[in-house]
Amino acid sequence: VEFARWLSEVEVRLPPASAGSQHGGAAGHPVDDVEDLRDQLERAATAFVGAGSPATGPEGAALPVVISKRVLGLHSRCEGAAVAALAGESEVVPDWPVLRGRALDRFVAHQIFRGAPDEPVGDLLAMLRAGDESETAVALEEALDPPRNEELAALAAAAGALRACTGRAPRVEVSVGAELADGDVRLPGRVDVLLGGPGTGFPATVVEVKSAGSGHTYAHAEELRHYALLCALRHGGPPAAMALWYADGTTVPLLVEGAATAAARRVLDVLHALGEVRDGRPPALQPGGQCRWCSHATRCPAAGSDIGGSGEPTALSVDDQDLWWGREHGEDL
Amino acid sequence: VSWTRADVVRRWAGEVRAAVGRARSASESSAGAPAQPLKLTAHMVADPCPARACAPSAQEFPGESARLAARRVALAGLAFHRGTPHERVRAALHSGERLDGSLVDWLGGLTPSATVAVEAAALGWAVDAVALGAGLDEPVWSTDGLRWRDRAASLELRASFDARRGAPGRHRLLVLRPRPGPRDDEAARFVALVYALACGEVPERVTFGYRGPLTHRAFATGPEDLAAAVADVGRIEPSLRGGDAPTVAGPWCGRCPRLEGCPEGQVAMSERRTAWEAVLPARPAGGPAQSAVESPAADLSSATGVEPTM
Repeated sequence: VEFARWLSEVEVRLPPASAGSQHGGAAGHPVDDVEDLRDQLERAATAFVGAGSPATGPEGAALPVVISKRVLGLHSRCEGAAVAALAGESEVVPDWPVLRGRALDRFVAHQIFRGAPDEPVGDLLAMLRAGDESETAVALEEALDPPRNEELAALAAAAGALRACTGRAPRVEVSVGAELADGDVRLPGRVDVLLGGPGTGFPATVVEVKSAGSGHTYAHAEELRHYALLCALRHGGPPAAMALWYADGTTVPLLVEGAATAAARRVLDVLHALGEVRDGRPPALQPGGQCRWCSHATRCPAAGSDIGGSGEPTALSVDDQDLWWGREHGEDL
Repeated sequence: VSWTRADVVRRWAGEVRAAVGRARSASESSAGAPAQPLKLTAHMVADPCPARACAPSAQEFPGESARLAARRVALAGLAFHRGTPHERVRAALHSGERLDGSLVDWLGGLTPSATVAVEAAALGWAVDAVALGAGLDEPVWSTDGLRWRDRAASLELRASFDARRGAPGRHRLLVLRPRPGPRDDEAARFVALVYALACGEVPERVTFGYRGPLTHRAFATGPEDLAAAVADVGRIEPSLRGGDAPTVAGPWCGRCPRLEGCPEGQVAMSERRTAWEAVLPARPAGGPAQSAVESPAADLSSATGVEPTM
């Protein structure tokens, strides 16, 4: 689906701004019961930390448990890797896939707010330096060579598709995290492009920008549903529409109805499972591609042979973009 | 009893002077009013770690950036321009009107592309502000900081709020924050105290609006709350001035800019790491890796159809 066409079709379906609705399903479709989801998540999180916080600081204060989308994604692959991610201290190297992803995010912002960049690489570096991303700028400069310059120019041009967002109350890189159990459990998140939403008078539409190929759509769809949940908790209702947009020009619209409920169920399952692990059940281990990024891999009895390997960018490695962004912006992602 | 503005200022200024005087008397390290005025902010008073609170701000904020500029640009747009949040931010950014000099200088040195980073950050702030400020009556957005200075005590109290509602004498203040903090009640009552000292009026209420979850929390501002704020000032002032503020480690250490040189903070952070790592099985030293462990999660992994990533 072409992005501009999808967006115009979405606009036709949405209620007018004057209707006052800033979120939530098209007419005739069931709407996720956000308050019920919030209640379920709150109860699960409270039970999770109430049964004994997994870690406390010197003053006895609970250290927040950060259930990031990385933890959620890892948990479905290997519970041990998810626990290792919970332990934190993820080493994120700003390799080319990470830098490429950050570049695409910046190009999208440029296209939406100012149009096509005149000099993609120079403009990108200027944006990064002004936008609290000096480490990324340095790493990018070191990584650049003529083929990569061309790659970035192609990304900048591809991001032009997102100019269709202009005039639809767009924002980029919007933090939509939720806090549960008085902040002891956090669900961080950052939406790449958010159109409308509270404060704009327009219904919310979520667009997740992906620099990787569209071959990882299943994992990306789970991410997007997770964002639908976070938006629902934040806005009081799920987004009106959402889609994955890939730099190869592919737009993958996803159903909004039921997305927040499915994502909440995943969070509830993970909270329940992590509670069992915290209480003594051995974590389930499953070797695989995730071992390459797992901080526990060198000590893990089940680690596969992929430790330290290299290969094509995957859904997991692309997650590193968010980890890297979070490191530069002081947020857990 | 009808209080004039002067009465309000006189009362709370007297309370602050007395509290600071008592604290200094009890402190062995200081005698009389120090020469250098101490600037106390809401962030310092409510910081759970006094050592971090008294760290030079330049250490945490080395210069202008899109993140620091976002609030000021957004507020200037909301306060002095009309239209949608997008139009107001863009007008403030491109006119430069009502922005402080250092910010205008910094913006003037940016390329048009670099300005996009500022515009995007300011827009995010402005839209959240409008969403959090939505209510029955339009808030009056404010770019003015609050400041009360007492030369005799060599003390300056500073605070800020982002919007105000209500008629004079019944003002309600809105303060935007990124997310809820562990000592927001102390920060809120400090804002109320400084407002009383600077404006001669105790606000009817101080509400914190949290941008992350897009929620509010209202704080009472009765006489007992302001008295508690005065006590906070008296409690923290000597240690901040003496440079011997204790380090209190906790969850807040994770993103502290001083973490690298703070042993207490590093211990706090390693608590989380070691606690979770303790539940992970480890193979014996030198032992071979085993094949996949049969487990419910392994079944779950295949049952949910997770595609292999490699």
